[in-house]
Amino acid sequence: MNGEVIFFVLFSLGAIIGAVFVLVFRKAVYALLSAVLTFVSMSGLYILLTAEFVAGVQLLIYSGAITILMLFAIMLTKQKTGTTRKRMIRFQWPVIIPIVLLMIIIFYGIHKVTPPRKPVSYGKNNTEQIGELIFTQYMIPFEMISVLLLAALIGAIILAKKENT
Amino acid sequence: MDFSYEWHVMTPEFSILMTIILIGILDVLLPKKIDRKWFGWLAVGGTFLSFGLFLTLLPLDRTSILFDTFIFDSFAKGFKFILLFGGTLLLLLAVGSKKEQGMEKYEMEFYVLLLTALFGGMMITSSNDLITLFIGLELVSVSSYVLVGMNKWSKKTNRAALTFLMNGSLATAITLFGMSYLYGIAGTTQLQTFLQHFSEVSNPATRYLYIIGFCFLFIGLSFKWTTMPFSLWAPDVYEGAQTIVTAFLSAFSKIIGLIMFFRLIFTVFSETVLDQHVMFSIFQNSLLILALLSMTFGNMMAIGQRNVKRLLAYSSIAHGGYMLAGIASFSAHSMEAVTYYFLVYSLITIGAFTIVSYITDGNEADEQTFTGLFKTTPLLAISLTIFFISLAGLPPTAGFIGKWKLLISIIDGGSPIHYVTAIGMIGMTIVSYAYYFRIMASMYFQYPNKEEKFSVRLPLVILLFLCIAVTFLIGLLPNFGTPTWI
Repeated sequence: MNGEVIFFVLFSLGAIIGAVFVLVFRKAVYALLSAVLTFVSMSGLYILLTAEFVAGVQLLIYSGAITILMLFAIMLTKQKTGTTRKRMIRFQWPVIIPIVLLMIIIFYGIHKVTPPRKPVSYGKNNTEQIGELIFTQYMIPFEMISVLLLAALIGAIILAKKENT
Repeated sequence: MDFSYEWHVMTPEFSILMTIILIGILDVLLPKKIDRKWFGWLAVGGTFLSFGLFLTLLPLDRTSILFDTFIFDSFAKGFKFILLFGGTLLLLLAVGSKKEQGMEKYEMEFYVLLLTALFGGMMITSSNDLITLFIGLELVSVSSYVLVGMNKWSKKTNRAALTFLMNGSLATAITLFGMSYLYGIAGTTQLQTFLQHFSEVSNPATRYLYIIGFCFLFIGLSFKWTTMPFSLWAPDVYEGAQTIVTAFLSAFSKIIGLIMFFRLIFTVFSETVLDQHVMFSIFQNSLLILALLSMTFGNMMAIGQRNVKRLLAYSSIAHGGYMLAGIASFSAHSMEAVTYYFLVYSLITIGAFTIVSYITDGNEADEQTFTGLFKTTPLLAISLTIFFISLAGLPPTAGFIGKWKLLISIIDGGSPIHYVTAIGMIGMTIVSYAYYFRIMASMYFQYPNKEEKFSVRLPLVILLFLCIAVTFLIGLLPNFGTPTWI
């Protein structure tokens, strides 16, 4: 058992526990903080895969920007502390059955596969390579994302604008 | 590396994009007192320009730029034609119909979002890469979330928008999950390379993972085109949104989801691979069963509806079933049949919604509004009859030929399940007469509740004339509807 395995186990446990806590916690801020745990552990997993650029982006955007944005959203909206929880749970438990079935199906698929061993050059100028690919081969999708952002921006302005009617 | 790409094949998309930017800049620069209404005409002009440029590109052979992230082949030609045609009609509808209360301030945003959706759809038709496909799909989805929720003063609309956003983003996540599996196995996002890898796979475990990936992809996409188990959000959303947006959802974004799936199937399971794989036949059978289910569900639920928008929503679930069956049959005729049906379907759906929007004028689309329509405005009643007859699939209209072609292509599949689907389709078509003819009967044989004349608006008249003319033209001369360039 080398260091990589230990860290892999730690990070993936962190990611899973964080995800479970998001569902379990009733208070929105706690749920958000456990989401941060998931995001940070996932960026750790990316580092183990020597994808340091993706890891940095993950940290910056998910645990940085998105979390702060959602904290603001929680802060600025009224919190309702309803007691709908018991009723919800009664209807929720049958969902366990398809979830377990799906897990078995996917696990059966994954554990049998041996990934093809191709010579891949890890960790050599990852960021540079990503940049090159984005601006040459994947330029059209990259430009399309800017149109997508435009549409999302317009939508956000329409929905959030205060009207004085 | 050679950097001289044939960018001119993207000119139709570029002109749409330029129109978007132009409208956005003009809205900022022009003084407040100028009416924003004519932005709609500008948008229509942009689509016309795009259409013209598209027609000049038709003689080209298969052209691809930037490693197949954008290709212009027969598939792209056929479906881009349909999308541009439908998009122009939708814009005309948006120009002509009265906006709901408070929406006058958002003319610019409305047209820009319609155009971005059109742009996304056009990119989907001509992309041969998973990444471009996905971003195109997201472009259409994000635009439609906002379009549905634009009328934020209405409680009903807010609920519809939230339902749509939740379901839609869940669907997106599932689609992406499926795509990540496909990418993980094949190691590429290009569909051509993907096809090669797929036909060479011999390891059963890998093939199993492919099935999982395709299943997730299919489930995610079927949210978008609303077939049976994943379509329960549709009636609420269709009812809550403005009528123009409902027309957009049922005629446009539905077709885009189907086009994307068709592109995947068309490329990945092309005929060379088809014979060797048991997997596809399993997949195909389940698709046919789902198609059958959604035909049954849509038509049965539509019978009981009193709200016309809700009724048309269920009917569009049923039509999604017909089209899915056509795609899944995957016979020699299916490409032709599906293209034809897409064209006809988007045409008559937009036509029907035009009249609904005309008559309801931003109010509830209750069936009561349609009683005695023939006595007050015979022209509208007759046009709605033509569209309903076409949706029901009766002769001299294009709807009949469309259903006929679909049936032929399904029967051509040749296995028992194909025959069952074909019989189910015929049966369900007969069921659908029940609700179409009920509305028609109340239009012709009952007296109106209140005497009310509907004023004539130029864009809507052009639109109705176009829809009816094309419906009859390709209904009587079907060869016009199956362009020879495909």
